[in-house]
Amino acid sequence: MSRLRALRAEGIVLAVLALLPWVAPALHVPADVLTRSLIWGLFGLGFDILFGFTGMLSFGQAAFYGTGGFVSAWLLTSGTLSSVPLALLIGMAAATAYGLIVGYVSLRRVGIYFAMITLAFGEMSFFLENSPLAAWTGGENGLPGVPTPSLGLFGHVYAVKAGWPLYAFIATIFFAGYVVARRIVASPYGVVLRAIKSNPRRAPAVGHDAQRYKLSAFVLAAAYAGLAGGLLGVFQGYMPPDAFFLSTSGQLVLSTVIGGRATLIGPLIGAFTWIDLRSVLQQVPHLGAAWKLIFGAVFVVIVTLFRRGIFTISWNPGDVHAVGVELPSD
Amino acid sequence: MARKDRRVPRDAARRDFMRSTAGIAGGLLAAGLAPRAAQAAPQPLGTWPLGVTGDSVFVGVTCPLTGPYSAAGEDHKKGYELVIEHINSGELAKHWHHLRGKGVLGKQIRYQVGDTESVPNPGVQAQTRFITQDKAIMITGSVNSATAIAIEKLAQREKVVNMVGASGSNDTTGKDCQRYGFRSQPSAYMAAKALAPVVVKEIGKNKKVAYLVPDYTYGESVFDSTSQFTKQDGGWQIATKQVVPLGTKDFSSYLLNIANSGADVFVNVAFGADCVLSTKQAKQFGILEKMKLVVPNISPFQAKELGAELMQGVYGTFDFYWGLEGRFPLAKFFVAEFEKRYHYKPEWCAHIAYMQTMLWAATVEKAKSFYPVDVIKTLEKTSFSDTTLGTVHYDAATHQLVRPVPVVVGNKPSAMKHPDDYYRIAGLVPGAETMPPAGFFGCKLGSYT
Repeated sequence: MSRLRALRAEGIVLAVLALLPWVAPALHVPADVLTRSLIWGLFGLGFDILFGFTGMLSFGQAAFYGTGGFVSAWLLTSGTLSSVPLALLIGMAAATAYGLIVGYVSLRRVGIYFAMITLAFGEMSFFLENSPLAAWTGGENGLPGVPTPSLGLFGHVYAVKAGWPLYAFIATIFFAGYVVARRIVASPYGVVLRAIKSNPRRAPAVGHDAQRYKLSAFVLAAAYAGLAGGLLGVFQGYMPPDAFFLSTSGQLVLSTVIGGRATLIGPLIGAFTWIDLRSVLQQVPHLGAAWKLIFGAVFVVIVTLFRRGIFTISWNPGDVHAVGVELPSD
Repeated sequence: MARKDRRVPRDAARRDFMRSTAGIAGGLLAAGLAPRAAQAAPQPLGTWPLGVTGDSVFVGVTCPLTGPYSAAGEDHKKGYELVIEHINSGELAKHWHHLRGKGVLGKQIRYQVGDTESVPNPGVQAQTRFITQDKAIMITGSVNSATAIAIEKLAQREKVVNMVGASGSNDTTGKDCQRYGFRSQPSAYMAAKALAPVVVKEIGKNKKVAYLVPDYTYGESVFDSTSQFTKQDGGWQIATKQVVPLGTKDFSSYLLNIANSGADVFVNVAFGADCVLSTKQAKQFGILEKMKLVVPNISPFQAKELGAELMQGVYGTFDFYWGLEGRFPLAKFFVAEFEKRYHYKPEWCAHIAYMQTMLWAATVEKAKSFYPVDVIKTLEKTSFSDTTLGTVHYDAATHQLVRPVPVVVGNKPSAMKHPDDYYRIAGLVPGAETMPPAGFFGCKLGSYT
C-alpha cells in the first residue's frame, strides 16, 4: 500500500499525459503547444534537480540544450544516421560529456560566481555554434530538415507523424524522464543533494563529498538538456541556433520559477503557461507586434502573484518527495 | 483568451484526425490500450483534404513583427492583408483574368499572422502551429532567408505548399530548394547578374571593392554572386570583406577596416535596420565621400530612413519598385490600392506577399484542386501573364520565379518629383537573362508525396 502511494505522482502524471489527446482539443489547446511544453518540461526536469533540489542556479543550460540538439540534428541531416532514437542518445551523450567539462570548471565557485561562469559558457557555446562550427551547425541558419522518427513496433515500421503521434512519442520520453528524476530525488543520493542545498557547509562536514554530488547533479541536468534539445529538432523538423541563445537559459529559469522549484513538474507547468499564452496572444486579431507588450505584463503579474510557483501554490498533495523540502524564504 | 468557437468546421476535421491518430497515441502511452488502425482513405496528403472540407481554407502567414526586420515585416504583412481581401472580395479577379469570382475555388481565405521575431525558430513554431492546429493548406511569409529555408523544409516534411516570402539567398532555390517551396524574389545571383553590367558601366572598370557582409546564408550568397559578376563584367577586385553578425549595433571596427582598405567602391550587403545603421555610420567615417555606394538588394524603407541626400547615386536592385506602375497595369492597380489603404507607396516586401498569394490562388483555380501535388505540378508548368511584373513563370527545376529584375539608382533630392520618388529605374533586366545555368546551385527538389 505504501509502495502504491509512493507511486501516486507517477500515476497522476501518466494519466494526465494519456488523457490530454482527448481533453486538450475540447479546451482548444493544440498538440503543438503541449508537445513543445513537454520538451521544455523535460529540459526542466534536469534543471530542477540542479536548481530546485541542489540549489545551484545555472544560466548556461542552453549550452547543453543546443549541444544535444545540434549533435542529434547533424547526425540525422548529414545522413550519418537514420535512426532518430539513436541520434537522440548520441546527442544526449555529447551534452553529458560537455556538461562534465563545464561542470568541472564552473563548480569551483558558488552562488552568483557559479551563475556567471555558466552564463559565460553558454555565450561561448553560442559563439562556437555560430562561427567556428558553422560548417556543421549551419551558423545563423541552423539545421533544417530533421526527420521525424520511425519506430519498429511488433515487426511494423511506424512513422511518427507531426501532431498527436509526435506528442505521444515525446510524452513517452518525458514520462520516462520524470520517473527517473523522481527516483533520483527520492533516493539517498537525492537526500544528500537537498542537504547540500539547505546547508552547503554542513553537508561536507558530515562526510559527504559535496563537490562530487554537485558535479553529478550538473551532469544530470546537462543530460536532460541534451535529450530535450534533440527532441526540439525532431519535433519541428528544424534545429534553430536560438537553442543556444541566452534567452533559452533565461526562459528555463523563468519556467522553473513560475511553475515551482523543487517540484519536478513545475518547469513543465511554467513552460506551458508561457507557450500557451504566447500562442493565444498571437491569435488575437489586430494585436500585431503589441503581443509582446501584453506578454511581458502578464508575466510580471504571474511572478508577483505566485511567488513560489503555480504548482506549489495550487497543488500540494502533501507528498514530501514531489514537493520537496521547504524552500528558504525568498 | 480568444479560443475559437468549438462548432467551426475545422474542429470537426481535427476530431477526425484525432480519431485516426489518438489510438496510436494512447497505445504508446498506456499499456493495455490497443492501438486502433488508421482508417483507409483516398491518400490524404499533408493538410489535404482535412484543410479544404469547409467553405473556407486557412493560410498560415509569418512575418517579423518584432526584431531588426520588423519594418519590412510590417510592410510584408500589409501585402498579405491586402491580397487576401482582394481575393476574398473578388476585387482582384476584376483586374486579373487568372482569377475567377470571390475567394479561391469559391472558398474564402482565412489567415493568421505569426511573429517570426526576425529569427527562424519562432517562424517555424508559428507555421507548425498553423499546420497542425489550423490545417493550413498553404504557408507563406518571411523576411529572412534562414527563416524562409527553415519553413521551406518544414513545408516539405509536412507536405504543405510554401509560397516563400522575402528571401534573397541563392540557397532558397539552390542547395536547399524544396519540391514544396516556390520563391518569387530574384535570387542574389539574379540580382547581381542584372546589377553588375549597370554598375560597371556607370562606375568604371577595374575598381577595388570593400564588402560589408551579414553572417548568414543571404549575406554569403549576395557576396559570392556580386563579387563574381563584377569581376567577370568589369574586373573588380575584392579589397576587403568584413563579416558582421546579424543585429550588430556598432559597426566601427568593420568600417574602420573598410575606410583603410583603399577601396573605390563600398558594397553594403547588410539588410534592414543593419543596412541603415551601417550606412549612417559609414558616413561618419567619411567612407561615402571616398567610395561609391552599391547596395545589391535595397531594403524596404531604406531611402526613407537614410534620406535622399545619402541615397542619391546609390545603385541597387529591388524585387519591385512602385515606379513600375507605368509599365504594368496590374502594378498600377496594386500600388494605387495599397496607397489608398496604407497611405504610402508599397515597398517590395508587400509586393512579394501580394504576388506570391495571387500566383498561388491562380494556380489553384487553374488546377481546380487544392491537392498539393496538383498545385505543385500546375505551378511548375504555368506561365502567368499580365502580373505586376508582366509575364512570369516558375522554373520547373528550381522553383525560382523567372521574372524581370529592376535595377535602380537613387535620385538627387532636386530631381525628386514627389516625396516617395527616391529612385529612377535604370534598367528592367528580363528574367531569363539573369537565370543561372541549369543545375548551377545543385538544386534537387524532393518528392511530391
